Amino acid sequence: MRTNLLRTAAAATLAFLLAGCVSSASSAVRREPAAGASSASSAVRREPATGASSKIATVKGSRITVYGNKEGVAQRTITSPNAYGAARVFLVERDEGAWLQVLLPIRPNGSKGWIKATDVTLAETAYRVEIDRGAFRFTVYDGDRAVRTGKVATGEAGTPTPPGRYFFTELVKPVDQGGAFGAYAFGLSGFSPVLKSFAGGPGQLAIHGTNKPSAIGTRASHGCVRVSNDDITWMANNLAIGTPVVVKG
Amino acid sequence: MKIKATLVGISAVLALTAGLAGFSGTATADPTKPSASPAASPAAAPADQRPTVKTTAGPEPVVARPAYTG
Repeated sequence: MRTNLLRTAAAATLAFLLAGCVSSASSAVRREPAAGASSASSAVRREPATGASSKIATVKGSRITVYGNKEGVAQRTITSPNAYGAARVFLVERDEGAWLQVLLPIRPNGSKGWIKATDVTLAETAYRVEIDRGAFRFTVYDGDRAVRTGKVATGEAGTPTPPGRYFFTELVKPVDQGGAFGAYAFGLSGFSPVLKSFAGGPGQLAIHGTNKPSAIGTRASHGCVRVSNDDITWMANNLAIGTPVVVKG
Repeated sequence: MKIKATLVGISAVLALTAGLAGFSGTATADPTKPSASPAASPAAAPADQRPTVKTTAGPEPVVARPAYTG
């Protein structure tokens, strides 16, 4: 009887000891995932946006209010689609969460404004186009990697191609495929500093193909950038509306 | 016999102490959880977490008569 009592007491003691150890171990295991999830989440939040990519904002409705500042002072209303029937897009210069500072397709070149993030959908592109006026050359970059380069024609002395930062506003396939605009034309967000209107339009700049390939590599245009039809077709197949374009040199 | 009873008593007290220490480990681990969860709050960085679509292909062209500077 006493032996049985002793055995029972010993078994109970052992069980209690084991319970304590298991409980202690499980509490240690439970803590680990919590700490791990927290640090992983923080890492995602702190991860900086890649400097090589650009954000493109597409207007959701038929118009959008552009503000002069984030305090909500309305500056202007811009309609969508644009004059060519393409969805209105902006190149995002600063993303501050609820507010986006965007490059505007208006005069003077380089104008910026603030829009509400809820009024647009956002897309991203790693592509950008650089035009070197002095070298008569364009280069398309995918991130830091040059993926296409070729010769260009730029504006004549009296109607120069203005340097600056722009973006594609629409892609047009000209009705006249044998005409001066070649196979395709990408409208730009910038305007000629000299021509306030041209051919019924507002003096808007563009990158387009040509029916005079011999003029490429010279100053030949009224401000537009001309490239070969092969190059503009490649751009039409690979670059999005909103892709940044930098004219320099 | 008394020695045996004493030994059993001591071991029972030791076991009880060890067991309680084990259980109390859970209680001290729990309060660390709330401090971890606020750090994972999604409202802290809306710009970084907003979904964006990666553009891959070219857009559908508009067939028109262009009026650019040419």
